[in-house]
Amino acid sequence: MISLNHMPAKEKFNFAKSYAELQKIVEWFEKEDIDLEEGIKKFEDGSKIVKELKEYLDTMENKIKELKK
Amino acid sequence: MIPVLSVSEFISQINDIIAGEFIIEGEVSGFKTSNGKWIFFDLKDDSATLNCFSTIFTLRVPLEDGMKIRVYGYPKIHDKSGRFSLTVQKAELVGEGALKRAYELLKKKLESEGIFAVERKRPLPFLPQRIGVVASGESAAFGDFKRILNNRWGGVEIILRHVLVQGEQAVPDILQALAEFDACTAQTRPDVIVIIRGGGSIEDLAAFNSEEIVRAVYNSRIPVIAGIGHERDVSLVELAADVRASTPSNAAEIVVPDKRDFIAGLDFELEHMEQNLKHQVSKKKQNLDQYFYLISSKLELPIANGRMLVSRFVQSLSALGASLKNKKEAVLFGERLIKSSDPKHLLKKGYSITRNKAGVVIRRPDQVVSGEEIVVELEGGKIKGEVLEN
Repeated sequence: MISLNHMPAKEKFNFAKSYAELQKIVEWFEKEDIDLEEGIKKFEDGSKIVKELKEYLDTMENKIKELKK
Repeated sequence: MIPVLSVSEFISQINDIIAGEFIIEGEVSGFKTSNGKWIFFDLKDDSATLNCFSTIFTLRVPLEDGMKIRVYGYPKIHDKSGRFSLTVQKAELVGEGALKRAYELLKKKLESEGIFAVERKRPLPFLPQRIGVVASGESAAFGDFKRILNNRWGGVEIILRHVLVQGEQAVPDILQALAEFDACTAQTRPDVIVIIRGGGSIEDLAAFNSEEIVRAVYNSRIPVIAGIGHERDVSLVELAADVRASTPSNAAEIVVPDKRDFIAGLDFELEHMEQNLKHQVSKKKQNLDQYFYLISSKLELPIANGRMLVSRFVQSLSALGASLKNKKEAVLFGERLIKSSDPKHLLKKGYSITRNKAGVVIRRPDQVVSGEEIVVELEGGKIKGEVLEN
């Protein structure tokens, strides 16, 4: 029985998009007065995105392709 | 039998024999012009010298002694002087000096057209997902680029379009590569193009100083990073690119961030958010504490007063209860009082009310005069009378 290599789950994760989302959250925190409940939720979301971004960078390799004429 | 010729005939025959077009390379020396029209110079190599002749109008390239050039022309012996010279139809600069000169001239021309203008340079995408590379696939330059890129970042797609990077075919090949990237559809189009080539002589790098490629880079819809040769070589393509990399390795540093710095940045941002949250919590808590303090300090007084009021209230209630019986009696007494004060009630008792003609009640004798009419009201009715004496 041949076991296949486990490929890291890629999904349709868009690195740039997720980073942009994180930036929006960071901006939100720059406000003078932030709602506590909302802030906690946004912080959780932000932490999740950071984790995903880190994982992506650490596991995803660069792919080299040739341009098809 | 060898014919006997005149001098003119001889020279004319020789000229026929040597007639033809030749291309000769050599070094310029003794360059001079005459009458603002004629140009004379010698073309030399290590052991021989050739006189050259031309006009200002024909020779458009400015020449200087010491320049290595290539001339196109035909040999001739001049009748009058008997001198042998080459009549030059065209001259080209060759070698480092010449290429440098061509570089300077082209640079000036393109600069005046705004090809290198800073304003037109586009910002590079911060996080490119697809990177198009125009380079020699086998080169150390591409190898360095790949290595540094893999070191710095992950998860990007590198699309290589291998090209010739020197020689006659380099220019058309590189032009074609740029056109192919430009023609990509949105699904496959790179976010940025990187043109790289390792070090070499000015002849080796000539393609990257060619007008066609410089213009193609300027017209590229996709932003371009160019890193050609060594740090000190600044090719015209690099000047026209959106960003110049000093070397192919430097290009890798420019095109993607360093993931270590990037991750540190992410952690910092998270921490910053957490700090903000904590600050908000402590701010709210502080407000709450203050509020409670205010309330409690403000309430203490009313609470104390309240207690007093309550006890007084309770006291009054019980007092009220006690006095209620008295009150009832008082009311009854009051009722009786009112009743007894009623004038009609008095009349029943036998009292009467005396009034004058105007209806005013007479209480004292001096309110009437003798002979004045008065009305006396009794229980049963009224009596009209007259004052006899007061």
